[in-house]
Amino acid sequence: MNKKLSRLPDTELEIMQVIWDHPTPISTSEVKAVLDEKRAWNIGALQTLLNRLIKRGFLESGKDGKNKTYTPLIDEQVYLAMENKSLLERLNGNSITKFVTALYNDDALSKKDLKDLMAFIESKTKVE
Amino acid sequence: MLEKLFLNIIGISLPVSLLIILLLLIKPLIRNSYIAKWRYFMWLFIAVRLMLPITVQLPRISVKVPVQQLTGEPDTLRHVAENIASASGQNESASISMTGILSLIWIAGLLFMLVRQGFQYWYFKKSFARWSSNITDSQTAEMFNEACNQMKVRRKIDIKSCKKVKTPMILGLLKPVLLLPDRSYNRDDLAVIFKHELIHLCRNDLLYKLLLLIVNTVYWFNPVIYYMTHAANQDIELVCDEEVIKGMDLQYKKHYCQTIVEAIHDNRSKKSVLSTCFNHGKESVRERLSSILNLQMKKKGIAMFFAVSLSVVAASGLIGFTSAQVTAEIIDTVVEADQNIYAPENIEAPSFATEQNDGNANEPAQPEKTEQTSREINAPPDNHSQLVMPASPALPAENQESVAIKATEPTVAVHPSEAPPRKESVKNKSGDIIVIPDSSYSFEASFKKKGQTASIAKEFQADSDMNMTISKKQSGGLVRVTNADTGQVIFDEAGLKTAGSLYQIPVTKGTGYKITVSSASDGDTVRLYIYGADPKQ
Repeated sequence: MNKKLSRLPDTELEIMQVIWDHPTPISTSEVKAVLDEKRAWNIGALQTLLNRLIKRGFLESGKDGKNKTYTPLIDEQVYLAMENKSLLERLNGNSITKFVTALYNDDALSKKDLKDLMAFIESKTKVE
Repeated sequence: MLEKLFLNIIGISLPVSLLIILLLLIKPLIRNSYIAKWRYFMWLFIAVRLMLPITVQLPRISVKVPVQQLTGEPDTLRHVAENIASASGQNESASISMTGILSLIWIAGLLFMLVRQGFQYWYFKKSFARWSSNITDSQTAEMFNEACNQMKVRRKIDIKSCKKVKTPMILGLLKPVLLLPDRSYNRDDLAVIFKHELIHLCRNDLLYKLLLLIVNTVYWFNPVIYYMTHAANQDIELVCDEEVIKGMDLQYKKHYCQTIVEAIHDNRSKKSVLSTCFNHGKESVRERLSSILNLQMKKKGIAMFFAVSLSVVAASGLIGFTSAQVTAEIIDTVVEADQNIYAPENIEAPSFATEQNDGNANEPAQPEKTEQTSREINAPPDNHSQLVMPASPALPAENQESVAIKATEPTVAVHPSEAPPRKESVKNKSGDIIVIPDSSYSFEASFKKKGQTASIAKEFQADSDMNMTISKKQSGGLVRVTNADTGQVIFDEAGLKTAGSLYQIPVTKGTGYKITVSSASDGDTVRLYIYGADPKQ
């Protein structure tokens, strides 16, 4: 895949999330039915956005009888990883910890460190 | 105004930084979580203290100028005076515009930080929102409600699952939302997570963090503050941990520790390579874990004593600092309230007495208003260019109105800035004459409103044709020099607004000159140095 992934606008991401969450291929009306649970969607607008997603390389369209169906070309995890690695995310770095109270606040650690820490807990509690 | 605020910030920054460094230095010595609670409040105290100059200063428009303490023998004083004179002549203009520039840099940095932080918050909120969904698992939601009830949390807190977060967190001060990473937790895990987060909420830790963030934004130039913020954030966690495991058995603590470690996201990005190199993150987690697991084994004992005594020392240091500030403030207020015009408490005061004996003569042409109380002397023969000034350090009340302040502006305060200890002025009360040879005569006026005017309480007179040099310390305010006899304007600064301006005004022997300053904008403080001679000579 040489097409560069771009950050999706909110509405397009909303559509993609529906498609990722459901078995595919999925038809336009099925997508609309799920989206409508939150708020009413205009079928024309939805169609336009779906076409845009095809153009972006996120979706592939097919036919199931009369209905147009969609299959995702990009995995949710792949897209999420891309978004996390985007320039904006990287610029903002770990700064989210300033605004939240989290269970763990600091930088990420390597797998090996995590293993060490688990072992540390074991060793500390075993003696008792 | 901005400059004063900046100077205040710097002034507070320094002693507080020293205190913070001290606290950070002793931190490894007393690694005990009982101390965490003490430090938690210590940081809070410091953070509040750091924010006070702003809230205290803002409503007050007239601002104080650090009063230079000059103590010592007359000779030393004279040296100091000369130094000041030459320094103020050549460098003052540069140094003042320097503070101007620095305070602009400071405010620019502050605004930048503010915008950046605002953007980051907005960005995260938005990007979390688009990846969040309501919790579908009814059991989790039920557990959370139960935990809320148990902790007596009355606010409605949303709980959402978010694919973007890697560790459970509460976001939002006004409408807090608990965000859970998109993974499955067992009931025990959820119980600890909820407890941890709700304790944060009950303790108002988000508000604390906001305060730290603001402190960090205002003191962005001070690296020590960054360390403090970091340390405070860690202590917030330690205090919360302590609360979670209070009265729990080892098994519970172990489980709690494991949940924390599981919440740490392993990271494959390049950034983490660097951080694992230093292994700082790992060490601080290890510290946190041992503090959780060791809590009951350690006794308060010596560490507690240490902590208490230190807190006393630290607190008294801070309070002492505060009271010094308050004193300065009070002095200022008194000056202003009295509407008093202090005559110049000249730095050379002790030495002029001898000059007087050296053979001086009273000059007849005195302006009416100061006649009764003052005489004038000639300069000692070796001083070719100097200004002779009739002066009464504390003007009689009737003079006050006519000379210094246009009585319509009761808020104008005029007082000398570089005043020696006040005792000196008492000596001069008899209305002696103050001779200012090449050193400076300083003068300061604070204005509340634009367009107010204040005159220097006395006239300046030269004993030869020469240049009178006026150096202005700030960019605000306008200077005007008039011939005291004819009322003719010799010099008018209107239109020139250069910071730290240095003006040379040719004066004629035997003529009296009156110097008036007025404010060009609200809250102006005009500080002048007036020399008898060209300071460049």
